[in-house]
Amino acid sequence: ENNMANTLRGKVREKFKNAKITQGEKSLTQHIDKVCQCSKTKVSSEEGLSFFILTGEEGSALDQSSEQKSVNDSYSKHSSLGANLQNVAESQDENFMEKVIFTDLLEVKAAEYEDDQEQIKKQQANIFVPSSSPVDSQNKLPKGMIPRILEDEGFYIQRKPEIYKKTCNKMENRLLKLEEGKCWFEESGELISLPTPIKESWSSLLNISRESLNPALKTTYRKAVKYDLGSSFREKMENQREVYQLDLNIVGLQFSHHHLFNQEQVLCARLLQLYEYFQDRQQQNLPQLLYEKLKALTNATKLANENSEINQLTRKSLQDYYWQISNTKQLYDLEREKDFSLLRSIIRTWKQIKSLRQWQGFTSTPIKLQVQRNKYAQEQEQMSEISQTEKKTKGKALNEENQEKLSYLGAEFEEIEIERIKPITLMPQLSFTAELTNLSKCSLHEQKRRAKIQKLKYFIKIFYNDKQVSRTSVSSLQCDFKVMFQQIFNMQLLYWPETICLKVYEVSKSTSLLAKLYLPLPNYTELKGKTVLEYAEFGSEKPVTPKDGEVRSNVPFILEGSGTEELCLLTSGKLSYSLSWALDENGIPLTPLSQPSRSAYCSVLRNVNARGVPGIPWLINAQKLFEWSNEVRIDPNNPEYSDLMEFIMYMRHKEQVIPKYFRLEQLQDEFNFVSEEEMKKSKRFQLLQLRNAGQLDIFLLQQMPAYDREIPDSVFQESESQIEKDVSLSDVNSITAQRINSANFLKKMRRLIMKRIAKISKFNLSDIVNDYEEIASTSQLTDAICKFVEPQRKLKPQRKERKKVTAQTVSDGDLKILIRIVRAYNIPTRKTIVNRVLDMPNSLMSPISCLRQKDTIQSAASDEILNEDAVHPFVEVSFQHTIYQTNTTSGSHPCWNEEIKVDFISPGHDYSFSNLSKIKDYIYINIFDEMMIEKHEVHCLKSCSGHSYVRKNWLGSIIFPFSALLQQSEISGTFQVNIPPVLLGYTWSKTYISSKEDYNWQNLKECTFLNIFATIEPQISYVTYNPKPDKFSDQIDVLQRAQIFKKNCKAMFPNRRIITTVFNDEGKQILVTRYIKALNPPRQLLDMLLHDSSATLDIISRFVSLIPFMPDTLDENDGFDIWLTSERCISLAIGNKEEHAILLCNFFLYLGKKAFVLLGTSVLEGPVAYVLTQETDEYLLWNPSTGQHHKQFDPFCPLQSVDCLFDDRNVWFNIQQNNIRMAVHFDYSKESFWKQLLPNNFQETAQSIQPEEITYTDTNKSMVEDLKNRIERTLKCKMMEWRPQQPTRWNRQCSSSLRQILPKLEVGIGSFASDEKESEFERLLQLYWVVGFPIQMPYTDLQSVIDAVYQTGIHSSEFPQTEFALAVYIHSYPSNILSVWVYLASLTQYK
Amino acid sequence: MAEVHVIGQIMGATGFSESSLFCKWGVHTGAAWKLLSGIREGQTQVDTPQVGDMAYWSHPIDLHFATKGLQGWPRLHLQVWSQDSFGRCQLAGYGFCYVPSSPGTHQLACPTWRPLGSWREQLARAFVGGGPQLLHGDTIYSGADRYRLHTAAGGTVHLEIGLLLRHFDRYGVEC
Repeated sequence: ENNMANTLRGKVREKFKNAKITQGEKSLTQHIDKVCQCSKTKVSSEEGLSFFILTGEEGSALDQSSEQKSVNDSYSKHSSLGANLQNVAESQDENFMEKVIFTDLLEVKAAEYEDDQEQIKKQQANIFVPSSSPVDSQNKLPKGMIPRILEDEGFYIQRKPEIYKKTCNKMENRLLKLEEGKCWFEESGELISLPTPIKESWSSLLNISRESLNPALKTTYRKAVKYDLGSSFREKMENQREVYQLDLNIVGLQFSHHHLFNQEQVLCARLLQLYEYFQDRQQQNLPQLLYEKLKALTNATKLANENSEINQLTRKSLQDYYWQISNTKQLYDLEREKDFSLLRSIIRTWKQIKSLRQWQGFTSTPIKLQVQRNKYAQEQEQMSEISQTEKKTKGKALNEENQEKLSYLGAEFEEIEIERIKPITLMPQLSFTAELTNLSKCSLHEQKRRAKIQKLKYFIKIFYNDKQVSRTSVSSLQCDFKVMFQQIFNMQLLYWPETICLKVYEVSKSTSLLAKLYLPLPNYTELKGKTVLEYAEFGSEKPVTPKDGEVRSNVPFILEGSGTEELCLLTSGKLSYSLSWALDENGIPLTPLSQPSRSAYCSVLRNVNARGVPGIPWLINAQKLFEWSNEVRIDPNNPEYSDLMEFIMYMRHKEQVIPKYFRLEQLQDEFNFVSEEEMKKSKRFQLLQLRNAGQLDIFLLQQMPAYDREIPDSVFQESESQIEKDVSLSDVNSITAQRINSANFLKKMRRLIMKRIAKISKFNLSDIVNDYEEIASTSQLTDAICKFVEPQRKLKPQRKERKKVTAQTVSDGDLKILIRIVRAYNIPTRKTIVNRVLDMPNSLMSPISCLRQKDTIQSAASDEILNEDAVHPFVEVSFQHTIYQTNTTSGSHPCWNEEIKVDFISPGHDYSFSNLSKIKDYIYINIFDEMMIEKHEVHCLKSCSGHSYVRKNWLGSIIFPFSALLQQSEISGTFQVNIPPVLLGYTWSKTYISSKEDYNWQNLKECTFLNIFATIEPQISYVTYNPKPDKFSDQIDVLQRAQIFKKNCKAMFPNRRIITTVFNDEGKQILVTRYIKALNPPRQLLDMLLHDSSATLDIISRFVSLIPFMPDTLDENDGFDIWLTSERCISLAIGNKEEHAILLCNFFLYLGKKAFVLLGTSVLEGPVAYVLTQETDEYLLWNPSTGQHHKQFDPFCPLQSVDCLFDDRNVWFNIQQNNIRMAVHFDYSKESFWKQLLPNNFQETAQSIQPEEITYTDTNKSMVEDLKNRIERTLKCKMMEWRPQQPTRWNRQCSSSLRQILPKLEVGIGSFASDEKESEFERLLQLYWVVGFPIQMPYTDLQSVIDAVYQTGIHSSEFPQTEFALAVYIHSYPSNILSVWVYLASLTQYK
Repeated sequence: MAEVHVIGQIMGATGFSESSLFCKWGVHTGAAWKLLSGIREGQTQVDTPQVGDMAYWSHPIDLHFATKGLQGWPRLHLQVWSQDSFGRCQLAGYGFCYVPSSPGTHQLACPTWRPLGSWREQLARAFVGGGPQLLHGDTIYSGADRYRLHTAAGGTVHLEIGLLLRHFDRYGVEC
């Protein structure tokens, strides 16, 4: 039973037990009731077994067992009865199991086996194995054929692939078995096969490793480098090298003055300096050179004189010689004089030292001077004596000949000259051999001083491009005031070297910066091999007070011995160093080679500028340079002129025609389609290239004509005139010609200078990438929610910042100028008399009654109320020749409140800020009076619908440039309207008194004001450039300071204007203060009004305002201002706003005023420059563009903000919180209000760049007359041109009377006398109703005059009977400065 | 007097192992050629492909030449650079191809290569970046003894170039 349990699984075992129980029961029942063999028990036993043996038959019996289960249960009740019989039942059970399970289910069989031999036999019946024995060729070929071997017959047979013979045989045998197998064999009886595909390898291999690589193929390993475009060494497509190296060798410091110097050392330093200078001169030995030259010249003269025949040529050269001799002699004398004085001062100083040493009782410097008599000089003296005698005899001989007066003169020269030659015979010798007095023997002060010296230590920090690179070790000061470093620094460069700066630090108790010095960058040719030391001088202005007998620094003291001499020495010294480019291991210099041509250009410029040749023009005009060099006779061997000579040589060489026979690509010509010249001639190509260079404005948008014949020559004229400016202007008036020329000259000059400054304008990321807007940020969400909660209308609404739009997103039609005309105040009204007369056209009125009536009306207050309505003003806005108009209202205080949308299309469809700022157009806002005139004719010509003619009379205008709008993005406020001084037919309303108390201004009654608001929609984002100043011409410290100052100021108030440095017309950077200098105004103006000083100021400011303005654009001037000197400004008769202000300021200074130039912004004009003058109790603001002056609290002064002030000493930047003009304190001495550039005690060494005096030329009267006639004629023609429909009648009588009035207007500016007192004019007024006005402007060109007249719209009268009158007057000031007056009137006859 | 317009774009690059790529390009012509308008050389932006293998630049090329002869037909040389995560740049391949000479649009694929350098340099390139570069850039198109150079293949730069020719027939050049 236990065995059974082991073989079966545990689970099964339990079930089996159950089965046993039933078995037991069964056996019990069998025992008890043997007779009864019912099927029931059988089933139950089978049911127990079915749990672990499931055969097919018994499975089917399971159904029955389930039925029988209940029966089994009933039996189990009896089980207790048969418990004793259990054992018997189990023994029976085992046998039963064996029988049932194993025999029924398993079968055992023997392993199958087949014999190998049999197997092979079976296979052989199916498988063919070809034999590997060779096959007879007979079998392979068709019967009777002899194998033919082609190779033997001489055919080329390609090699066959090698196959193992046995394999081949097998294949052959196999193929022969096949029916069609014979076709696989060739004629030779072999298997057909392709040539072998395997190529044999080359026998000779290249020996790559041993041979050196072609240098062109060399590669270098480069580190992955993060580079910054623009400022690093510019990489080209073929980048050459990346690492450059500078070697800086700092040798040491040598103080020429130090605060620890004692007096002896001061003198000693001076002696050393003098001695060095002396040695320098000695080395140059100019007297000797000049002496030699003199000798050579006299010899040459001698030779020339000896020649008996004197023709024209030799005479000329003789004359030349004499001239040169006298010239050289003067120079020679001068040089010698210098030498002597130098020697004298050396000896004097030495004597001072000696006396000082005696006085103080000790020696603290080892210096010693000995004077020797020079041997060489003695020889020379002898030599000169010899020559002297020789020449004397010659001279006599010449005298005897006495052929020419010239030669006689020459001889005389010789004698004088020879007498003077006395070379210096004394040679000072400096040595450091004097014994120093021992420390113990010195005075107490001296001992302390020496102890201090030993404590001082120095080190130097090296800054490359403003970044600290390295520093030297700390080295102590030696007794002779030297500091030795002897260190070499190798700097590997990645960025362009801009500045190399050394900062010297002093270490005593604390470390302090002593001096800062900038080293010049080495030339590209200065390489490591160079051993010459260079010296850089430095100084410090830090004052140090003395303690122990030492002298001081930057504190005045009196030198012992020379009682009167007061000295103030700054700490100064020399740094010896060498700076050079390093070489790499192959000896190739590590130098950037990118701009050799540019450096050459600069060096030429440097040398020549120093000699006072006018700056730019000569470089362009080589011819002038040659002339100049011939005139001056520069020595071609003088190394100083080498640059210039090279340049001249190069220019000469360039002029020569290149010989035809040398060609690099010889055959090129033969294959060419066309010649070079033909290519150049092609107009289309020229045009395309011009367009590419951005010099073509007209064709920018149009398509290029495809054929040359379609291109008119006129297209080039403009561009050509830009290149070659010398257009002949014979036809034009000389004044006009001057205007055109100077405008062109300025343009050209600016372009040249800009080129030299080489502006790098970088884009910001925001300029290129348009940031997408976040769809919903949390703040927006809260905003949206808060909207519901918020009150509908806030009590104090806040202005929302308008969204700025980048230029890229703007396209045509998106941009609009919005101008809201709100209201106007105090518009002049028509004279009542006129209305009355018009109303009753046929009434006959005597002149006297008319006059009387006028008087009564003007005086009577009651009539004025009636008069109030007598004007119907409307406003016209015009921009770029499109005109927009408001409705007409009535009254002299009209309110329009209308918005005008001015459509606007940018030229070139480019809406970038830089392009928009190039637009120079003005926005004109003109006020007109609309007037209805009743029709009296039966037939009407044009406007039949109404019964009246409409005419408009110009009353005044406001003009502002588009650029001002662009920059400020909005212009709003009340502005004074420019009203002509006389408005015929109009009078000032008397009712406007309401706001009198607000403005205590005298003439307020005669001013019209207009309230406008203008803006650009959408707002264009303002691109700001970050100009990179890199070129300093001179005085680096000051300019650097100015730059830093500007940077700081911009950081504080980015929106305020500040200009500290500008470029002059030579492209040098210059401090603005150097422009200010008292300069004389024209004499005539001063003479005019001697008695009245304020009138003088007025007339001078008027004179300045008459100088034409240069149309300025925004981006060009941003960061790179180019200012002319005042003299240039007057002689060219053109200038920008700043130049005008400077000129006015200079004039005021001349008159003894305290004047400043003020930079600020104006609402209407954008950035402006004003002149500020300090009166006794107030400040006056002068507008140089109009000549008017305003008080600070004048509400209608257009100046809005005050940002910066400068005069000849300093620049002040406004750091007050509020820079509105009204709120600004002008007291610049307060440092909390005004930040100043230079400290108070700063000594400005450089003088002004302005000339001493301005010379004025007289204006050509006849030319003025000519111009006047020209203008008048042109205007008349234009008037007729503008009225194509109607006839234009000219009233000559009126014109002539106007002509008489005009000159008085110019004289009486400010106080305009009523012109109606003219008797002749009076008479006209009775016959006609006259409307007219004079316009005044500075003369720039004819077109501007025409435009101004056109703006008034006087021509647009439709009334058929209108007559016109026109008069032109030009008032001339000196230097072609003109004031143009145009008097326009339209007359209507009373009916 | 014949004119050639080269209008097209540098589409992008495929097959480079590096991911952030940009390309410096230039057009080289013979002495007989004259540039009327356009810019001869330039550099594309850096493109890091997010999807797919190709780095797209779509960098425009627009050149207008005038020529008096056929010699020195314009050719494009390209340098593909890759930028690593530190913003450092290193060479990924040199490429060179002629501007096609028949009018119409052309799809060009310009394979690139880069010098391999010594094993040390290769190792350095793999770990610290950088890599060997040609000292003389003109080797890219001169091709003198280039078989001596050990190079590795870079990817391919794809260009799409349209060509307009004018007046060539006038001088007997059929195109």
